[in-house]
Amino acid sequence: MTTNPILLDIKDLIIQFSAYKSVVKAIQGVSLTMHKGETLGIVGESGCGKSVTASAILQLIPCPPGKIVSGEIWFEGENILTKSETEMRQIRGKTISMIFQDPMTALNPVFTVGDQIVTVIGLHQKVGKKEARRRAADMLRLVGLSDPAATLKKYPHEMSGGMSQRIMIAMALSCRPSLLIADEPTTALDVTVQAQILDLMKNLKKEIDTSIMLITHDLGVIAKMCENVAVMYAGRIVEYGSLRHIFKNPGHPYTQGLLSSTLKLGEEKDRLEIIEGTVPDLSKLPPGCLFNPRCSQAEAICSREVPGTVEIEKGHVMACHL
Amino acid sequence: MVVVLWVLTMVTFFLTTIAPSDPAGLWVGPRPKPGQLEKARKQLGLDKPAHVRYVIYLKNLTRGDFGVSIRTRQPVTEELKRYFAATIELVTVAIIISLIIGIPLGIYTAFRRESLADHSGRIFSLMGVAVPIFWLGMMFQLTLSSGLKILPLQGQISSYVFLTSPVKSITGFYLIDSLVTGNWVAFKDIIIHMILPAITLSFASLAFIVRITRSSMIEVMTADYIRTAKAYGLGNKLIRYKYALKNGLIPVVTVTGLSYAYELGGSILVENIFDWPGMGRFLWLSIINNDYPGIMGVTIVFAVICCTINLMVDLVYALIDPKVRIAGT
Amino acid sequence: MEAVPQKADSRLARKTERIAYFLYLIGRNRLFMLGLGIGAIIVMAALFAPWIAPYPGDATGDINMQAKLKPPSSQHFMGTDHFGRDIFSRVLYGTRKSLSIGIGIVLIAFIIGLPLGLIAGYYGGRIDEILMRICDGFLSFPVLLLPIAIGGVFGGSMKVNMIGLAIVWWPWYVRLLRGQVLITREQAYVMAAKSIGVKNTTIILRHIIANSIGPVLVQVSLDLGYAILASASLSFIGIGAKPPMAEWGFMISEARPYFMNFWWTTTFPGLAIFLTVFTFNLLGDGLREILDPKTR
Repeated sequence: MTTNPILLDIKDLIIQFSAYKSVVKAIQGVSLTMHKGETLGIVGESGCGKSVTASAILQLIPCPPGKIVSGEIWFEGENILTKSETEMRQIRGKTISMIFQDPMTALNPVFTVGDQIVTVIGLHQKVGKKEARRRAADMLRLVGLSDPAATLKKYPHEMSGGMSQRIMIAMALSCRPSLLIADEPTTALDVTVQAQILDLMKNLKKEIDTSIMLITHDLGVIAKMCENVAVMYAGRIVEYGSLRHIFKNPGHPYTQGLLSSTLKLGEEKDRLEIIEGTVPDLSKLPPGCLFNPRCSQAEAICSREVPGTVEIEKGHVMACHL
Repeated sequence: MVVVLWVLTMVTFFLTTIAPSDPAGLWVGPRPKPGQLEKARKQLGLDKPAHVRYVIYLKNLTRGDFGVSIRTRQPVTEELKRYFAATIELVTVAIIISLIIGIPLGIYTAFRRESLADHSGRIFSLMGVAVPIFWLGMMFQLTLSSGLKILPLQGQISSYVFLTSPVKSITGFYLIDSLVTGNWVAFKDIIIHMILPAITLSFASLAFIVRITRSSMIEVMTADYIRTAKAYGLGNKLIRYKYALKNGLIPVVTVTGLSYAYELGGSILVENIFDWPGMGRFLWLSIINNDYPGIMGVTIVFAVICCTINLMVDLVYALIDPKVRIAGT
Repeated sequence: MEAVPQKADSRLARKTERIAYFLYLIGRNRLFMLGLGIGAIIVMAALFAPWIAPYPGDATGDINMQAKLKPPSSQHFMGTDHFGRDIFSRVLYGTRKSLSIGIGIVLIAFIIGLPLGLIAGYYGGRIDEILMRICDGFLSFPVLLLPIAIGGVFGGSMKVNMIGLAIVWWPWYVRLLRGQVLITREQAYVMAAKSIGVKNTTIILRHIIANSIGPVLVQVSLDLGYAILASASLSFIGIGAKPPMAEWGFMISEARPYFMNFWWTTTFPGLAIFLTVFTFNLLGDGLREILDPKTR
């Protein structure tokens, strides 16, 4: 993995949103690195900032009310945070693609599916309609949809959730991006379909030779798909490591809490463990470690100082005083 | 639809049966000679019981016979034939004005939020629907016709033109007929006469359409699929004017149907003020003179027009929104 | 020991915070404030017309042919009409007529529409279908048609107009309430309440009505304006108002033979109508913005 070149490097990203009489500090300094060919999982509760981080990469955050206060995002040798809107349009859908949570609403209901894919292909690959349609059909076949020609003429509401998400994946990968960002791609789907979609993504990753940033709150998905995992809490990355590191030897109390609150296959428990308390109000952050109020292992220093990064083992870091 | 129409005929007929003034009395006028009242009653069929009269009325309706106007003593059908085209012309032109100006304005202000144009647009749409049509028409007459003398005061066509280059009647619609027969003089004249009444009629609908278009477009821009389009690098123009617009116009279609109905009602007032020879004015005269057949005739025709418009709106819906199309098949 | 005062304290603090928030939203919406301001003036005019009007008699039957058709002056702010009556006083009195009929129409429509809408929405099925068909029927026709038919046949009066317009108006409220019921019904907390075994009527009363207050309030404000406009139109046609009534629409129609040469006879009553309807539009629109989280 370390032999592969760095694909994405996020450095100290700070993002804030202005709301009624307050400033929501959504992201307070996130740094991440992804290598080519990697599948990185970002896991955390709702509201921890994972989607914001992903949207920031493509500059999809509405500014106002959002604001990228500071930070750099290096992609393929350039700081894409400095790029203009026009330049970003060259990247979106072409070198970096994103798929979203609910495929049923992600597609325009008054246009055929074919119309939408063909537009994207035509835009980025600069080919004529006929050629674009041919390529679209190829992509549909690739994602496992039979009878591409008929499917292209369908409207989004005529398809199931699973089909729609396949179409989204087809569209996302149609221009062979280097990075695919998947924001909760299976959350809105049935469990059986979830597995199919994840398998599809795994296979296509190899075939298209792309890297995947997978955002989810579901640890099972992480376990199935990812090589490295970043755990986010309240706008910060609290732990980062390989899949083995995180699952076998979680260092941060939050990660430990997450893992113990689920059941593993065959395990029996009388009560599911929970993490007491709720996520902090991002506009009124307490001093010190943000997880401190809920942490069962908290010590005095935790309420005073924000923890820095501590290395647990090689390639496995966390932000904790313990 | 048919049910509603039928109920409407029942209601209007019922109203005339319980009306206080006596149609026969109106027919013969004041101070009738003895026996004349009885004769009139027989003639008008008023001696038969109400439900029988209703059945006769319905039967006549299906033959296109609306009865005879008490005021003009002509068959209502004949009168309406004359005035139908004029009203339809006026209302249709007014709707077109509302759409052609309203939709682009709504879109413009939707994409320039918080700008001066947006604020003025919003205030205009709030004001536009608050203005009483009849008053607006009169104000226009006061300033533009009588004051500045740039536009004619009343009428559909000036008497001079009417006499010197009369319009050959093909469809009954003066605008179309004069255009088709190459009668430019009459065409220009009619357009000039149409300007004020049409603008007056379209005013409130225009304001409303600006407002609906604006809010619809704003709402559409927050949709998921627009975020997707942006995430795939589609340019602003493409997103706004193709992907967003088609969705955003769907509510506007409904509003257009409603506006047509509204303007039909408004024609009662506008035709009165501008002396436009249409059904609205006929209705008004019928009201003043207690001409029940006249009132009922126009009411039913208006209702039929509204039903037709609603059907057309449904059709357009099916064209734009594929969800409707598939549900219907 | 510390718990009790703290609890009361935070509850009060939270309540004041919420009120402060709403006031902030209202204040931020300048159009709404404007509507409130003008609205207050109009209501004042209506309530205190007999005392504010310089010539109250003119609105109730006096005629003064010597002051006939005088332009606006310091004695007659809005001039006089063809019977020498002070237009300003008549406009003030007209406020009462318009507001009362407007409120009457909306009230009746609401009283009829509310229960019907709740029933249609909550019970669904055939009742809902039938009601919806009836409403669709009403909604697709020009609003003035039925009142005109009624008025034209019966000779009309303000009360008849009010009832006639209310009859045409109630379908809007049925639609509105039904829509609200449908939305609220699907909301998770209604289902949650049901699952705990809360009775049907309790669900209706609490959740649905509480949620519907917002949109209904918006609709009521807007409708007050439109109802006034409709009734003024009817008076203009000649249905409803009789001399010497000081009703805006009627004043305009009375002045028709004169307004070309005496512009003030129609301009001011018309402005009054416009201002009133505009005010209600501002209020309704402002309310809508305040209540809709999306635009915040």
